[in-house]
Amino acid sequence: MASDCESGTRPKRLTIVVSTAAERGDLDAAFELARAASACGVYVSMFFMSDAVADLPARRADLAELADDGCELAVCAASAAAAGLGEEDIGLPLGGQDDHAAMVSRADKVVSFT
Amino acid sequence: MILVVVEAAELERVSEALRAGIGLGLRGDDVAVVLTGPAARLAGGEEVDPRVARALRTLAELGRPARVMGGGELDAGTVDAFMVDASIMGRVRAVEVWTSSDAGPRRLLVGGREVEVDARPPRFRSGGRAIDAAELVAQILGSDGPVVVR
Repeated sequence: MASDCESGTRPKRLTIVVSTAAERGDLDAAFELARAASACGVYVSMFFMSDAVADLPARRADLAELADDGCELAVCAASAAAAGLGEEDIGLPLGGQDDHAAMVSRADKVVSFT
Repeated sequence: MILVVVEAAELERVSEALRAGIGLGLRGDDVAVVLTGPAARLAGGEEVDPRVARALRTLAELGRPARVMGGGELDAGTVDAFMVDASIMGRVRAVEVWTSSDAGPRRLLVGGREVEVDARPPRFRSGGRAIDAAELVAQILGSDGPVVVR
């Protein structure tokens, strides 16, 4: 699997940001990219905020799988509060814009579905 | 530099985008925020929503005021030109484009190539053929410049 992702100067950190509702399809695309990158040994971090957060309870299995694969996942607490969700609903610790900034700052590449 | 392009038509998404634009600077990165299209009209009118006005004021106070593109700048061609302007994009390492929730099909621009992103599998398509996620990851990781999703 790793050979599919080989690149001579391949960076090691990929950050994916999602802020759109599930019907846009971005959440599925983001999960697919994250799984593929993680399978290649890339360090993947994902930040979810705004309209994307309301759909996360229905995607707990995907989130758990990615976390088990070593992906760093963070959810905007303000967006979760606006959606009436807590950590127990999403299954992830809630974070904030500092997580967003840290993930983007550390990344070699950023893919933003915003 | 991190570039945040706000082109959404919904007030809520414009407000969220500006919040992201403020937050992305928390680790000391250089962040530029540009409002265009419907978002520029929302931010540039006479009665600006208080949340948007506050966020714009905060960005200005932080010494990195948002650029609100107006008048003749508002056509999409100008935005595209801005996005590929080498003097700007050469310094940009990450791009967030905040679109309207009902915007058209997604396009992912990576290394001079355009990838269509579909809500249903096969999710990624380039040059008329489907590409799998691992191939797209390799393109992203091997590319020069930022990845832009619009």
